[in-house]
Amino acid sequence: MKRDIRDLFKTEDELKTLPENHRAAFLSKLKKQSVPPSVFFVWTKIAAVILIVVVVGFGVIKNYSDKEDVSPMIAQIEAVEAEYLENIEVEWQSFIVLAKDEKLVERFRKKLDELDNNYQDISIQFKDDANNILVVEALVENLQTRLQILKDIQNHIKILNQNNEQHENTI
Amino acid sequence: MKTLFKITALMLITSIYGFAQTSPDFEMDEKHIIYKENFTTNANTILVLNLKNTAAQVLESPDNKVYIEYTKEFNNTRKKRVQQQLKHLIVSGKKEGDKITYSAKTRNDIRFSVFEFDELMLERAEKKEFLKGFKVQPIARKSLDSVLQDIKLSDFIYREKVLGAFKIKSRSPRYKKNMQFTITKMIIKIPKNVHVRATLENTNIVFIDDFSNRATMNVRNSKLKFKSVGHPLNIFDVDNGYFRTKEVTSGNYSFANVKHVTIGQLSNTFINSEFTKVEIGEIGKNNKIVDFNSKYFIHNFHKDFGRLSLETDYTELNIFSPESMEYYLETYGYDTVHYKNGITTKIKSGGKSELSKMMVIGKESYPNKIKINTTHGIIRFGEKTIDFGEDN
Repeated sequence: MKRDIRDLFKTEDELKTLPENHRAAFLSKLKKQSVPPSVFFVWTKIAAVILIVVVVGFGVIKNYSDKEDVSPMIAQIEAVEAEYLENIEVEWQSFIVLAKDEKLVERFRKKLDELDNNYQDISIQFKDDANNILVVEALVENLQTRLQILKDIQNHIKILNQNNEQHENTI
Repeated sequence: MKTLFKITALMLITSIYGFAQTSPDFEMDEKHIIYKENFTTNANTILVLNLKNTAAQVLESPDNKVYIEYTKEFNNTRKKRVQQQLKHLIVSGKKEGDKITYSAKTRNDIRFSVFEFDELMLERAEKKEFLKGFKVQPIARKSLDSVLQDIKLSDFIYREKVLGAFKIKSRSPRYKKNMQFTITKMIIKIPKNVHVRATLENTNIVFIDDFSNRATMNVRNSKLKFKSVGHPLNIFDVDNGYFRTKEVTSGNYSFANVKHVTIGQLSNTFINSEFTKVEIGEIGKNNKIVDFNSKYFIHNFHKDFGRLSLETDYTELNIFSPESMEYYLETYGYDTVHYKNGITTKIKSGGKSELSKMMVIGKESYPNKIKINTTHGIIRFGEKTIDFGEDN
């Protein structure tokens, strides 16, 4: 269906009539629109961002450096702890294979649990006071005790198992 | 850089042990009295001591008062460091009726820089030895004097070990005016009639004079050193740490996981121990020991030791035979091995776990008697030395 586009415009122009306050409304809307940011305002924003970055960054770095004071000590103790626990586990596995006395195994299990609980208590103190040599010593000695008792008892059992003669001596 | 660390370490080690040293012959820069008080006492007074992460010296009071003085002196030390040390001290004392309570707790007494050395002190001093294990050498009988000397030098030996970890040559700390160090003194003077109830944790405490007060002590991870200790009503519960004394005259003592109990002379005492190493210079009158899985080294017997009873389970007893006296020895055992003069006696496990007579020496009518009841035990008797050759 062919139509003349000029006729169409004529029809629409006849339908639309501009309101009386059209001009005033237009000016009002124009005023409400935001003013394009000035150069000064842009630089203020950049400065604010930089300031925030600097303040936050300083805080993070300070916090990091504070933690760094303690972390080498904690890291070293963690390394010592990991090595000991690994050795304790090896000795424990070897002990439970060697020991035939269930009561003995149970007593050692209880003792090791007790020492572990003690270790957890000292660890809490260590977190609060990582630089105290008495606390550090207590931590390491706890690990040493666990390892030592497991080594000693295995040696003890091996000696008992060496001889099988049975006799009584009266001198 | 290493030298710098060594100097720092030495200074700080000096500051730790400054407690035990004589004062320098010059005036220190700053002296802070942390706590100073005295309390009158009577026959019913109980002194409650709660000490944590600290060190103290205990002396006999010259009168009927308890005196407590805690000071810290600093030399050539930065203000910040002084303030840091002081702000972490929590000290209090009070008297309520017949009860005097004194509590002291510190933290952060030593800076981390000690540990900034390229290898951790403890790693060098302790860990390697523990992890790799070491060969047990035969041991020789020690005279009582020798054991007493060990006790006397125990602090020095420990210090040597710490210095050795840094490969620093040992020397007596000589204070110099330009040196940075701290001297900490906590001195507690207690009259003889006062009952002491102490709870000690991570604490080093030295009793300078004979300590015959009644004492009830609960001790964890601490180092205790006495000249002489004993009261028939004493109850000590020591868990971890070290216990050294030239003499125990009476009381009940419980040791669990104690690294080293060293006693010069032991008499009229009951010991209950487990997982502990115990060394005794001389057994005196009437002692009883009940043990699980400890190692005992008994070097000598007094000529009138009366009776020594041992009831043990999984214990290693190393006993040097009484010299120049008649004595009676009786051993009952189960699953136990007995070594004496190259003779091995063993009661093997199996069947009923009842004790069987293993060894008898001497006549039962002799006044000095050693009676041993043991299960799963190792007993070694020696004259001059005890060999552990059977261990390998």
